[in-house]
Order: sequence, then structure tokens, then C-alpha cells
Amino acid sequence: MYRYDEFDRRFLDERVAQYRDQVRRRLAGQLSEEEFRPLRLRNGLYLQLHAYMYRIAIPYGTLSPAQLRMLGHVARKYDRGYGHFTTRQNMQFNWIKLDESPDIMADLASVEMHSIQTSGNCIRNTTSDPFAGVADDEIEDPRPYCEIIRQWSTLHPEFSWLPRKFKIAVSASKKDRAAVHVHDIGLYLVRNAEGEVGFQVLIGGGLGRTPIMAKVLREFLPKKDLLSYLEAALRVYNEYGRRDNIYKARIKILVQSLGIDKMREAVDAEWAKMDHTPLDLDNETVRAIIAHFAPPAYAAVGKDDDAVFQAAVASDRKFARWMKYNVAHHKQPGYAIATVSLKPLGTPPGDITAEQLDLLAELSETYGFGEVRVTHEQNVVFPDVRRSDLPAFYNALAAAGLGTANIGLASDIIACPGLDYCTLANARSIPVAEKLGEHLADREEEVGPMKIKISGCINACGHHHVGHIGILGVDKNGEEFYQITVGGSADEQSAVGGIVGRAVSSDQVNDAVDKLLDVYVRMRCEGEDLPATYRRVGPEPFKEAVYGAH
Amino acid sequence: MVLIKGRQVVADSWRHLDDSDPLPATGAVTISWERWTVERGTIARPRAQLGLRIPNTVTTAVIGADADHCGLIAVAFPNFGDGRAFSQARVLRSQYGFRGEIRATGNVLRDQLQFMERCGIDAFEVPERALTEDWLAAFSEFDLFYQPAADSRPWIARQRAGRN
Amino acid sequence: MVYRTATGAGLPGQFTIRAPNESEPSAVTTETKLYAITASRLRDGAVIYFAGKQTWSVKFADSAIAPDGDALLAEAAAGPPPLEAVGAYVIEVTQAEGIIRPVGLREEIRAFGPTA
Ligand code: SF4
Repeated sequence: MYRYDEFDRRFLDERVAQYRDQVRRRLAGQLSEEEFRPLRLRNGLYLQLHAYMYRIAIPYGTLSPAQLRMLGHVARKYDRGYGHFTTRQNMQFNWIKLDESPDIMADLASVEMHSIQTSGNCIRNTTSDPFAGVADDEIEDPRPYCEIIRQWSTLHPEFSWLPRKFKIAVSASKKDRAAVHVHDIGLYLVRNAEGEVGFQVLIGGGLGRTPIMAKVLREFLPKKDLLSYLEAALRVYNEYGRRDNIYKARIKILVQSLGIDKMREAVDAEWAKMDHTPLDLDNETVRAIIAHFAPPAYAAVGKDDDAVFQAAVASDRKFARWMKYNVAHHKQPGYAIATVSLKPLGTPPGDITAEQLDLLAELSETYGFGEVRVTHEQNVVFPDVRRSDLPAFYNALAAAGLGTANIGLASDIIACPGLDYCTLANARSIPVAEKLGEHLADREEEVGPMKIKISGCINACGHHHVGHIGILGVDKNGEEFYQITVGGSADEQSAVGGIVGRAVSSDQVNDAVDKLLDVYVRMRCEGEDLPATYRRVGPEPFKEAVYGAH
Repeated sequence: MVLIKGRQVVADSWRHLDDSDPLPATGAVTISWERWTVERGTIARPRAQLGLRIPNTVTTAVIGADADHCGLIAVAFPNFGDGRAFSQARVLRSQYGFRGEIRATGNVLRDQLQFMERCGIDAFEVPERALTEDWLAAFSEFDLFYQPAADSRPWIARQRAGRN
Repeated sequence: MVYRTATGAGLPGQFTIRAPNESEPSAVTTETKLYAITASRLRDGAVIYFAGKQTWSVKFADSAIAPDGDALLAEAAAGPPPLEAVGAYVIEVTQAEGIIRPVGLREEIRAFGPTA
């Protein structure tokens, strides 16, 4: 993974000092709340329902053992012993004090972590495929490019006060595990006809009030041009993006109103005027960054590896089930990618305690090369587990309550914090997720792959639009109701789900979801996921199941 | 109002005319962009005596074309969140080679000064309290930068490669 | 302005009523809408309530309540250094048998903590 050098370290120290002074000025009354708010937001500090919420960047989701332990330390010392992984590969703490926040930031800096630009109308944390570098179907490791973008976008003097937030994702696999289509800019590493690797550039995706899938801005961008082209796109957005209406300020609305062709013209025109040379990525720079992500020293496959593993599968049903759902194919023979579910039944999705963070740190050293990845689906990936170690690894997880075998199933629910923590919420998400997960656990194997996503308001942090089943909290005269959508998808087939009917009360959610699943199970063809069935049969059977014939 | 230029507090040598003020025969004056678009045909002034105050809604291509006529361009920051003038300044410097003064006006905040300076703004109209609150220190809060901008400062990728 | 105050900690329903300091007439009936003022405390973001006489409290039950929310808000704003209370606003409350409760789930969660 990327390790800081003296420049990165000194830069971060300067940032901590600056923030400490900003907090001092606020507490001394030199800054009004109005003036201070954008400053704290750019350092990830929100004022939420009960306290300050602190959002820490996990660049492209990667964490070292020292960083995991530091998050555990922050949870214990400054919070209430737990943290929350978000749908953008960040970590949030919910019970933070403003006057302690500079100390937290300094503690984080000691392990090369920060919270820069995790909020505010600026370029946010760049996200990526949690299987980057180990997936068997990727063209090239996307993480070095994420890191290059991270550095370029950090305290960018021109693009720190954009019309609205700006999110970038990079992926290199055919299977999209990074929800690239719902980002302001999405980058796929692709190969052109000449065999050269570059980027397909997508623009204008996003969820929220107006869910839109990104469109192709450029089919092939040479790697060398990555930053100059991003800069051209950002400049067009900074100049032309709407600032009169917060709901129309994202770049997706600009792309929609101009049309993708005009947008492309504008970006290309800006790009043509710019002097690219300062931003051109030379091979030397790229190679130096890539070196940070060199594959670890994998061991050769042992003679008995498979036997150990097969014996465990045969003798332990729970392990066999975990293998089936939580373990994915690794590009290196003898290794596997294992996903630790943070969705044990009846707990808030994505929450993790200080003790669990410590345990994951330790396990990442024993069963891997000291690295884990946080996923946008709020789970944790161990990228390099030896297949022969899987039984022992599983047992260690299970002993700590982290052995839930439900990745990709109905109880692997994505949910935002909702009204229990968030000032913007209309309704609660966490209790709905907890109850629904427990309710569906019995039938989730029969149902098969299923993505259920819950947001507490239209801001869609829980990505409900792209859930196979999406659940959106709405407020009706002070009461919580839930609007259900069906058929959405966040992968390469990305689609926004269709609304099933009028919103239901919280105690009707389980029943409504059951009925939708019944229709899917009854009508699906071999190998079809719910969005595919929905595309084929249309919304009517689903509507009828929930609301009866009309 | 206090004027900072070249990281120092200085006296303002420009007169800022209302649209109804007559244009004096000589002396450094700034006029609004609107007035300029109407009267440009009749204004013949040495560059050093003409400044333009541009709203942040005018696109850089349009201003850039006229930048040659003036010695000062005042860009506007109507509120802290509206960052259009960062791009205006950057483009004026980097693409149109504008060498005159670019002045930040409006709601200029201490914590944006260094960003503004990096985008090519070299003069700043700041409130009186800047004097007691040591705003000049804000220009040197960072001495490392991750990206090139309109200033000539080195950036980290270059420094790593040993090329300043 | 008429204040009713009650103390108590923890969950709704567990409030005890503080004996009125003075023999205040009980001018407030249950039919009258009642309001309190809440904000976040600057230094730690804690939920605070205007408790009258230029003070704020972390306990909901200490809230000063009155039928005129805007007047109460003005009084709170005139209070101690405006620094302490960030984003003060009026909330509706109910009062029954001397126990006050916030109206609406959002304010209940703010007053008594997350539900899950
Ligand atoms: S979706 Fe709404 S309720 Fe949920 S975290 Fe985002 S803003 Fe808050």
C-alpha cells in the first residue's frame, strides 16, 4: 500500500496545525459559526444530532494494521468505543467533541491518515474496487491512479469551493465493485485497439434527489493525460455548475442540461486551451507510485493446502457456508479474497467496535500481508488469505462474532445512519435494517444474491436507488414511512429502481419485502438476479404483490 | 477595508468609480465590467490606469480577450462558498498571461488567502480585523503543495523527482 | 413569561417533577401549544436546552417552556455568550401532569439518544 514520504508527512503536519488554529479561533470567538462551518467540514467534522460526527478518509478503502489500531484507539479515547464504515469507504465516529478534534487529527496523522475533504463542496475521497490488485479480471491495479488523484486533489487551490461535492471512483475490472456509474466522474481502466491501457471517462452520475447514471465523456484517455483532463472537466464544472439551487448544483445536472455532447465539447475546448505539460504524468512518477502497490511475496501452493481446506469444508457446515458466500477467487493460486461481514444479525450495518478493529489488525498480520480493504457495501476485505489458512481464519473471526456468512445475500444490507444520528434524516434506517436482516435470514439462501439498500432521506447515502430492493425513509406528518423501490442495480448494468407504490409504515416493511422476494423467486429464470427479472417482467407483478390488484 | 498586496498591507492607489462617476482624464481607476462593455469604444487609457471589476459570472474566455486593456482585474467572492473567481484568476494568469494586478474583493476570508494566491491573485481587500488577527500568517500556513497552480512554487511530485 | 421546569434523567416517563419554587399560577393548560429552545453546544456538540435565566442545560427536563416560542428564542439569544449555543431553534413540547416531552421522533432522539 501507499506509504507516506517526508513530503506527505510534513504536509499533513501543516494541515493539523492549520486546523488546530482554526478551532482555536472558533472557540475564541474570532470565527463565527457561519465562517467556521465550511472549514470544519473540509476536515470532515459535521455537527450532527447528538455531537460532532468525524469522517475519516480511507483512501480507496485500504487500511494497514497500524491504521486499524489507531481507529480503535480513536473509538476508545474520543468516542464511545465504536465507529461506522460508510458507503464511500470512509469511517465515521459519532460522538466527537470539537475541542478534541485537533488531537484526533494529530493522532491519525501519526499513522498516515487524515480527514481532508471528506466533506464540503470539494473533491472527495477517491474510491475504488475493494478487490483491486487481487481480482482475477482486472486490467491493471487501479489504486496507483487513485493515489495520484488523491494527491492532485488534496487542497487543490482552484477546486476547493465547487458548486457542490465531487466524487471520483476508479475501477479496472469488468465486474464493477465500486459503483462507478453513480460518481461525478468514473474512471475505468481499459485497453484500446492498439493494446495501450488508459481510461474510459464517465461523467455526471449520482444518486440523491435526481438519480442519474454517468455517461461516457471520453472513450479512451491516455494515462499521461489523466490529471490535465480532470482539471479541464473540473474547471468547466466550477465555471458553469449551478450555484443558485443546492439540489441542482451537482455536475450531473450540468451534464443533463447541456447534454453529454455539449459537455464533451466544453471539456475538450478547455483541455485544448490548457498547457498540459505541468500535469502530464511521466512514466517515472507513475512507476514510483505503482511501486507502492507491488504484489506481496506470495508463497507457493503447498502440497497439502487443498486437503486441509477440503477437510474443513466437509466437516464444518458453517465454514462451508462462509466459504460459499464470503470468499472470492484470487488471481494468485493458493490464495483467496475473504470478506468479513459487518452485518451480523440485529446490529447496525457497518458498525465496528474498537476490539474488533484491533482483532482485524492482528488477523491481517497473521492471515495476509498486513492490509485490509473497506468496501462501499460496509464490509471488510482481507485480500490475501492463503487457502489453507481459511479454516483457522474463519474460526478466529467466528469466535469474535465476525463469522457471519451472508456476503451478497439479503441480510447483507447497506444502510446509512438515518434519524438515529443524522440531522438531515426523515426516518430511521438502522432499526429497519436490523429487523429486516433478522427477518430475511431464514430464506436468504433460497433467494440467493440480493442487494437491499436503505437511506434515511433522499440524499441517498444508503444508495437505495440502486438496491435490488431499495428502501427510502420519508416523513409523513412527523411519522416515519418507507418508500420501496425494486430493480435497481449498482454494477456495470447500473439502473435506478422503480417505485413500487405508496410508502409503507415501518412495521409493514418486512412484509412488503417478503412479497417482492416471493415474486422474484417465482418468476426468475435460471441465473437471473432481481434486476434482470424486473427488466424482463416489468413492475406490475411486484406492484400487485405488495398492493393487490388495482 | 484594508488592502494586502505582496503579502503587505499597502495603501490603495486605485480609485473605484461608480458607473455614474465621470471618467477622469488621468489617474488609475477601476470601472465595472458592465460599464466597460458599454463604453469600451470610447475609453482610451493606458493600461496602468484602467482596472476592471468583473462579476464572477463572466466566463474567462470573455475576460481573457479584454485583459490586454487593463492593469488591474478585480475578481469577486460574493460569499465563501462561491469559488468561480479561483478559476477566473487561474485562467487569466495561466492561459492569457495576464501580468497586472488581480485583486480579490467581496467576502475575502483568511482561510482562503493561500488558495487565492496560488491561483494568481496578488492583492486582497480584507476587513479591518485582518490586522489584529494576523491574516498575513495565512499566506505561509503551507509550504508544500500537491499540484501545480498559477504560482511558480514547486509541487511535491516535482520535488520528489528532484526537479524544482 | 411563564416557565414550567421539571427535572429528570434518562428515559421519557422517568421524570420527576420539581416542586415549583414559587407559587406560580398554573397558567398553561394542556390545550395550549408549548415550546422550548434547543441548540448544540459549541465545544462538544452536546444537545442543550435553554433553561431560562441565561442558562443552558444538557437535560431536556430543565427546559424552559412557554407558549410563545419566538419570544423564548429571543430571550435565549440574548443570553450568555452566543458562542456556547450553536444553531438554536424552537421545538414544540407537550406537558402532562408536570412532565414535559418533546414532540416528534427527531427531538425525542436528540433528547434521549439513538434508538438502536
Ligand atoms: S441518506 Fe439522509 S439520513 Fe441517511 S445519512 Fe444521508 S443525509 Fe443522513
